[in-house]
Amino acid sequence: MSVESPADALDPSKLIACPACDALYTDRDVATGETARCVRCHAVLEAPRRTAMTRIIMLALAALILMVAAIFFPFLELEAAGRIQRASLLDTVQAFSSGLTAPLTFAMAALIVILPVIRFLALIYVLGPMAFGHKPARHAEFFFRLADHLRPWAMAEVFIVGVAVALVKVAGLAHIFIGPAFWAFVALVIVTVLKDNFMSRLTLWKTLERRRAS
Amino acid sequence: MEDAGTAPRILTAKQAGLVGCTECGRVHAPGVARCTRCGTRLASRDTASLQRVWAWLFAGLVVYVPANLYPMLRTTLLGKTTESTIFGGVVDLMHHGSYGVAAIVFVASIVIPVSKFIAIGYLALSVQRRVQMSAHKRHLLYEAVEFIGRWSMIDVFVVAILSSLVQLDFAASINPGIAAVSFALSVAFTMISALSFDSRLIWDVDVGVNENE
Amino acid sequence: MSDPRPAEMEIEGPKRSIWRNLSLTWLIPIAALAITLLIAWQSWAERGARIEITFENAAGIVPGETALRFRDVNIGLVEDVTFANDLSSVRIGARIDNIVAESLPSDAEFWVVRPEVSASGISGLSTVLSGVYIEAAFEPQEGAEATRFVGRDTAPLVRPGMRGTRIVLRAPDGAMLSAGAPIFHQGIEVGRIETPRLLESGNGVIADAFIEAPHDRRVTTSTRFWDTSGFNVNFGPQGLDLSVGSVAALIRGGIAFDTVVSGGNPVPSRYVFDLFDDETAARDSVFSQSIDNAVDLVVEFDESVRGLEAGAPVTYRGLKIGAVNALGAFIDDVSGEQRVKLRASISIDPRALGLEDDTAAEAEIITFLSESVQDGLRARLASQGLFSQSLMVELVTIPEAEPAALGIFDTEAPVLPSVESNVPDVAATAEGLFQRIDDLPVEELMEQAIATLRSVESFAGDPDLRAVPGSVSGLLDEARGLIGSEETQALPGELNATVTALREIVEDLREAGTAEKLAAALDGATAATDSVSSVATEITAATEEVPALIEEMRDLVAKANALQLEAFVDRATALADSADRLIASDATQALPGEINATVAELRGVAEDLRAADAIGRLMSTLESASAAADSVTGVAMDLSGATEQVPALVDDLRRLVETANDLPLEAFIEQATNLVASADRLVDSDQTRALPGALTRMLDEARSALEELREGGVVENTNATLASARDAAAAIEEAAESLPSLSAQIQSMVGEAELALQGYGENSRFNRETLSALREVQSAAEALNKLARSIERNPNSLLFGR
Repeated sequence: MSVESPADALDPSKLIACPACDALYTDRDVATGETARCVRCHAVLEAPRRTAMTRIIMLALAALILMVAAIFFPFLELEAAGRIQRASLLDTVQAFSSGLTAPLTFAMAALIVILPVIRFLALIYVLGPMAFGHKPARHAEFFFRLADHLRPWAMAEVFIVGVAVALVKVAGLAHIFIGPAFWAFVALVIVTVLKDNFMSRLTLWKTLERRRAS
Repeated sequence: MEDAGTAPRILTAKQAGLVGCTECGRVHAPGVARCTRCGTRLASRDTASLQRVWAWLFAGLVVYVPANLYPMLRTTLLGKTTESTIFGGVVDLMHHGSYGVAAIVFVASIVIPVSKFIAIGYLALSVQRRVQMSAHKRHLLYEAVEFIGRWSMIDVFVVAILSSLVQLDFAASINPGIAAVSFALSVAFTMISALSFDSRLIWDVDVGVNENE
Repeated sequence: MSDPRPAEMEIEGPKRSIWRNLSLTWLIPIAALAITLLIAWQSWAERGARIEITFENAAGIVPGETALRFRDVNIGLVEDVTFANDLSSVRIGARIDNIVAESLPSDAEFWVVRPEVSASGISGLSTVLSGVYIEAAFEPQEGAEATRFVGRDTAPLVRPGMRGTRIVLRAPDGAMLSAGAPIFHQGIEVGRIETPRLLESGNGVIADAFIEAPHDRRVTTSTRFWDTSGFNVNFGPQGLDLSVGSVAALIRGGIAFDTVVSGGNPVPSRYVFDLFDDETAARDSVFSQSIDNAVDLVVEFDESVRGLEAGAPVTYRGLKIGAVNALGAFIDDVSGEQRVKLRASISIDPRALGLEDDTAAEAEIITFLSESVQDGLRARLASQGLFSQSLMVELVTIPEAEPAALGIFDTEAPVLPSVESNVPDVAATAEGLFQRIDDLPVEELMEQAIATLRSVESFAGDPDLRAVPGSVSGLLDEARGLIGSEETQALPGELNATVTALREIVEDLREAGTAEKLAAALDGATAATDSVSSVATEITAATEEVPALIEEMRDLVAKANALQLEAFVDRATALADSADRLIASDATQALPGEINATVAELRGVAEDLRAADAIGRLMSTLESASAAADSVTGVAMDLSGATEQVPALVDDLRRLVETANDLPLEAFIEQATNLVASADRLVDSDQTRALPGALTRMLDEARSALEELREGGVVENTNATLASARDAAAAIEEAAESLPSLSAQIQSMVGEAELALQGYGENSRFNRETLSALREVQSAAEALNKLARSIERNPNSLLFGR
C-alpha cells in the first residue's frame, strides 16, 4: 500500500489501521482469494474468500452438532481391577466439583463447552442472515465482537490434547475404551480450527458494515 | 501485496493524529468514543494498559507459586493416598518411563508459564525502556505468547480427565488437588495479562527509534 | 395521450436464490449430523431390553455401575433405583442384552452377590474390589420375555437347571441345622440345606434341603438323616460312645444320611424327614412314629419301672420289635381300693413280628396279638444288660402263665397283660444270697457241734483216754517247739521281704502300662463273672439242699455218739504216738530251717528278676494270663456244669447217709479201725520215717539249684523261665481254644485293641466295650457297696443272727 504523506488530508473512512501495529493504509477492495497483509507486522488485514461466510456457518453448525454428540455420547471408559468407570464429558467437567476445587468446575464447563457453544451460536447468528443475502440481524456487531473476544477462551482443542495426554498416561495401567464422543470432539476441534482460519476479522467486519448499510 | 522493503516508512494512526480501531481496523478521528463499524471503545493508546499488564502478570505469578507447592493430584491406591505436585508428577512420570508424557507435562506446566512470565515482563519492559530486540521480533514474541498461552491449560484438563476416569472405589482413585485451581488461575491471569497488552505499543517504540535515526 | 410506447421492462435484479450460497461444503454439517444421528440411533437400538427387579433393599447397587451377570458374563447394567409405590421395596431397573432378554423366563432368579461368610465358606470376595453385582440364574427359554421379577435375598439353594430332589428336614431345634450346611452320604457331599426356619407351631425347625442327582436315588422313605457336625458323646445303655466326624464336618457342620432298612419307596418332592442327633439314634429310629402302621399297646406293671425310659426297646425273644413311647401312672380302682399302677405305652412294628406290611387292617394285628396272649404271650420288664440299670420291655411266651386276655377297649390302645419280671438284680441276688445264708440254721449247727464236743470231752474224761492227751500234748509241744523255732519265726520276715520284692515288680509292671492287657483280662473277668454269677445262682439252689443234709449228718453224729469207740480210741492213740515220733525226729525239726533258706533264695531270685527288667515278658505272660482267665471262664462254665451236679451229689450224699444210717455200725467202726491201723502202720514204717530226711534233701537240692540260678546268670534263666511260663500259659490257652468262641473273642478283642491304638477318631468297639465293662463293674461295685454298707451296719447278723 502506498504511503501517504502526512500532509495529505486523511479521510478516516478511506483508511485502515492495522490492529496490531497501528500502521495506516489506504483501504481498498481486495479481490476474493487475495490476502492483504500489513507491511510491518504481516498481520492479515483483508482476506475475502468466496462463500467464506457460508463455510463458516456450516462449520459452526457442524461444530454444534458435534458438540451435542460429544456431550451425550459415552466419552471414555476405564476398566481396571475388575471395575468399569465410565466418564462422559460432563463427568469430566464435574471432576473438580468436590471440596476446594469446586469453583474450577464452572471454569471447566465454560472453557470446554459453554464458551465454544456461545461462539458457534454467535457466529451463526451474525453470519446466517448475511449468508442468505439478508441484512444482518440486530446486535450482530455485539455478537460478532463477543465471538471474537471469546476466541482465546474457547479451549476445546486444548482440552482434547489434554485428554490425549491423560490417556497416554493411563493407558499403561488400565484398559481404556474411547467412545464416540471422543471422536466427535476431535472432529469438533478440527472444524473449529478450520473455521477460525476461514475468518478474516477485518473482512467480516467490513462485510458486516456493508451489509448493514445496504 | 507488495512488501515495502526493509525499512518502510510507516505512518501510524497515532502519528497521523487518528485513532484506529483495534477490533476492525476502521480509522476514526480522535475523540470518537466508539468505533462506527464494530462498536468497540476507541483508545489511541491505552495508557493504563501497561499497569493492567503488570498487575495481571504479578497476580499470575503470585498464584503460580502455590500451584507448584500444593499437590496437583491426589492418588489413592488401595487406600494409600499419595499427593504429587506438578514437578513431582513429572518426576514420577520419568521414573515410570513415560518420557514423552513427562516432557509434555513439563513443557506445558513449567516451561511455558515461566517463559510467559518472562516474555510478558520483557515486552512490558521493552515499552518503557530500550531493549535490544527489534520490534518485529518482539511482535513475533507477542504473537507466540498469545498463541501459546492457552495451551498451558492442558495440565488442568489432564487432571480433570484423570479424576473423572480413575474413580475405582477401592482399587485406585485420583482426585484433584488445590494446585489445580491456582494453576488454572495463573494461566487465566497471564492470558488476561497478554490480552491487555496493547501490541501497538511495541511498534511505537520502534517508530520512535526509527524516527530518531 | 401519447402513443403507446414500449414499456420499460421490469427488471428484477439477479435472483438471489438460496442455492447461490450453498456449496458442497454444506455436506459437512449434514454429514456430521447424519453420523451423529446414526450413532445415536445405534446405541439406542443396542440399548437392550429393560427389566425390573424388586429387591428389599438396594445395598451396594449403584445405578449406571452395577452390572448384571449370567454365568459370569456381563449381560446388562443397572439403570435406576426407585422405590415401589408404597415404599415397601426397591425396584431396580436394568438393561439387558437383547439376546439374553429374549430367553428370559419369568421364574428367573436374581440376587445380589456380596461378600458373605457362611457355613459353607466365604464367597463373593471379589466384589469387595469390583463392587457388588446382580447374578441371574435361569433356564433359558426361547421366546419367554419376562420383564418383572422379584429378587432374592440370598443365592438360591438350587440353581434352575440343577437336577435333584428337594426334601424337607425337621429337627426339634435349629442348633443342628445351619444354613448352607452340606449333606453327606458315606462321606461324600451330595447336597445342601437352606436356611432353617421355625415351624408355625413353634416346636420345631424345618429346613429345605436339596440332594443332587444322581445321589437322590439313594433317598427313600426309609432313609434316615442325622447330624454329623462337631463331635458326639453319647452315654447310654450301650455304653460310652465318642464319635468324631471329619475335620470339615467339625467346622461346617453337616448332615449325613443312610438308608437304614430296605424296602423304602421313592421319595416325592418335599417329603419330610426327621433329623436325628446321631447315627445311633437314627438307626434305632426305624421304629419311630414315622412307621405308618405301628401298633400301639399299653402294658401295666405292678412293680417298679425304675430304669425304663421312653425309647427303650421292646423285644421278643431277643429281637427288637418296637419301642416304648411313654410312661405314666394311673389310679386303678380295684374292688373299691385305689391303687396306683404304672403304665407304659409301647408301639410295635408288625413287620418285625413277621406280619406282612400290607396288612393294613389293624384289626388283624389285634386279632393275632389276642390269640398270642391266649397262648401265653406276656410282657415283662427285663434288664438291658447284666449289670445295667436300664430296663426294657420283653415279650415272652409263658405257657403256664395265668390266663389273661388282650384287653381291647374302644378308645384306648389294647392292654397287653404283664407278668412279674425276673430282673437279675445283682444287689438283690447278693443280698438274697446272704439272706439265705443268714437264714441258715447256723446257730443250731453250732450248738450241736458244741454238744458233740462235750460228749467228746466226756470221752476224754475217761481215764484211759487221759493218757492220750498226755501224748497228744507232748505232740503239741513238739509242734509248738517247731513253730517257735527261730527259723520259723524268721519265716514271716523272709516272706515279707519277698512280698516287698514282688510288690516292686508289680509296680514296674504297672508303669509299663499293662492297663490294656489288664482290661482285656478284665473282659475275661467279666465273662468269668457272668458265668460265676450263673454259678452263684446254681450254688444258691444248691445251698438250699444243705440244711437238709446237715440234719441228716446231725443224726449220724448222734448215733456215733452212742457208739463204743474205745478200741477206736486206742488205735487213735497209737497213731498219735507214731505221729509224735515222726514230728520229733531231727529231720522234721530241720524243716523250717530248710524252708527259711529256700525262701531267702527265692527272694534273691525275685530281686534279680526285677533288676533284669523282664517286664516285657511278663506283659505277654499277662496276655496269656488273660487267656488263662478266659479258660477259667471255661472252667467256670464247667464248674457251672459241675454245680448242676451238686444237687445230684447232695442226693447221693443223702443216700449215703441213709445207707450209713442203716448200716450195722459195728461193722462200720471195724472198718474205721482197720483204716486207722493201716494208717498207723504207714506212719510207723521206715519209709515214712525217712520222709523228712528225703524232704530235707529235696530242699537242699532246691536251694543249690537256686544258687546256681543266681550265679549262673539269672537273666537268661529267668527269661527262659518266663518264656517257659509263657509257653505254659500258651498251652493253657491252647487248651482253652477247645472252646472256639472264647478264643475268637480274645483274638478279635486284641485286634480291636490294636486298631483303637492306631486310629484316632474311629469308633472302636474296644473303647466302647471297655467303658461298658467299666460301667457295669461300677454298677456292680455300687451294688456291692450297698451290700457292704448293710453288712457294716450289722456285721453280727451274718454270724449270730439278729
